[in-house]
Amino acid sequence: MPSRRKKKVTALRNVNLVPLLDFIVAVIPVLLLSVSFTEYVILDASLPVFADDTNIVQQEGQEQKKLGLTVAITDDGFVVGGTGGILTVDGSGTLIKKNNGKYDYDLLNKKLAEIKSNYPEEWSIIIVPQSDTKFQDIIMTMDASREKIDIDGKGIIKKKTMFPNVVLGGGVL
Amino acid sequence: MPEINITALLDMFVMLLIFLLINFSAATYHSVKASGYMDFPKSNADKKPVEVLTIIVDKYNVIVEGKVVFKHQKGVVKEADLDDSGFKIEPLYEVLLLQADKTKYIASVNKKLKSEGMIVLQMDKDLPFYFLRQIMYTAGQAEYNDFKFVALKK
Repeated sequence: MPSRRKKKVTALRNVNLVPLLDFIVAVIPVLLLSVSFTEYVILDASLPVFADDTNIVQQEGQEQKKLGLTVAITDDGFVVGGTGGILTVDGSGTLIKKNNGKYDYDLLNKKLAEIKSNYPEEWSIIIVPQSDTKFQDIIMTMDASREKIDIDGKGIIKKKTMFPNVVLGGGVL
Repeated sequence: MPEINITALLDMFVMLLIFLLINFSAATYHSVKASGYMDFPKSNADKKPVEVLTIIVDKYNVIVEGKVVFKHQKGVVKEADLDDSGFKIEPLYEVLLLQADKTKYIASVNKKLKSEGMIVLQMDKDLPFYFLRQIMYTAGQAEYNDFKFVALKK
């Protein structure tokens, strides 16, 4: 006469897995159809607004200058400016010139990071594209101005927010 | 007749099922409708898309709520569709105005809704800024001032 333990083991071995398999085979195509393997993201942008005086704000009785940071996208490259002046890059002019015919987003990102270190409380940037600037170039410029991405020696990515509030200029209003 | 051992196959399917379920929960932005005439720009942004009114601007059409509002050629709009300033696109303005009224009505009933003035723009990566400017201006006239550009994650 077989022992009770032996009976139990035999019963476990004979579990009918076919219905479970049927279920999984039915579910997998449904999931495969609905899963998106491409990830979408969004970027914020707004229209310029009029104000009586956007350059000077009164704060606790003190006059604080606003940066009014502006990046113009031109055929030759980027022109970075602020209230009362245009940034000079390495003494060679006001342009962040194109590199081999392509916009130099890395250099723009670096220069904006320098500006951010001098104006840590500034979060806004005005991007002024040309009429024929492609949408992709505008998005890339927004990327370059939004955050500084550093990868340290250990391969850890560090993101530092720079100018996330983007206003698209260029005669919208 | 010998029995086929399906345990190994089942193991594989269970793993696949778990992988797909994880992706499914992390996914999917249903408002992004694939258009055959659309190449999304690429971005390294992190923000997830939101479900609000969407304007789809592909290589040939401008689509709102699944309906083609007007056609364009590489970002050039027919003069008949523009107002005197050359910025406002009349057919788009009319549709957006209707949508804005709908949103206001829904917001008056559902106080939790906070999408007023927000609009998602899916635009082809090669279209020029002057076309984007016209669309933004038109949306601004219909009281949509908060724009969200959709891009593919790099």
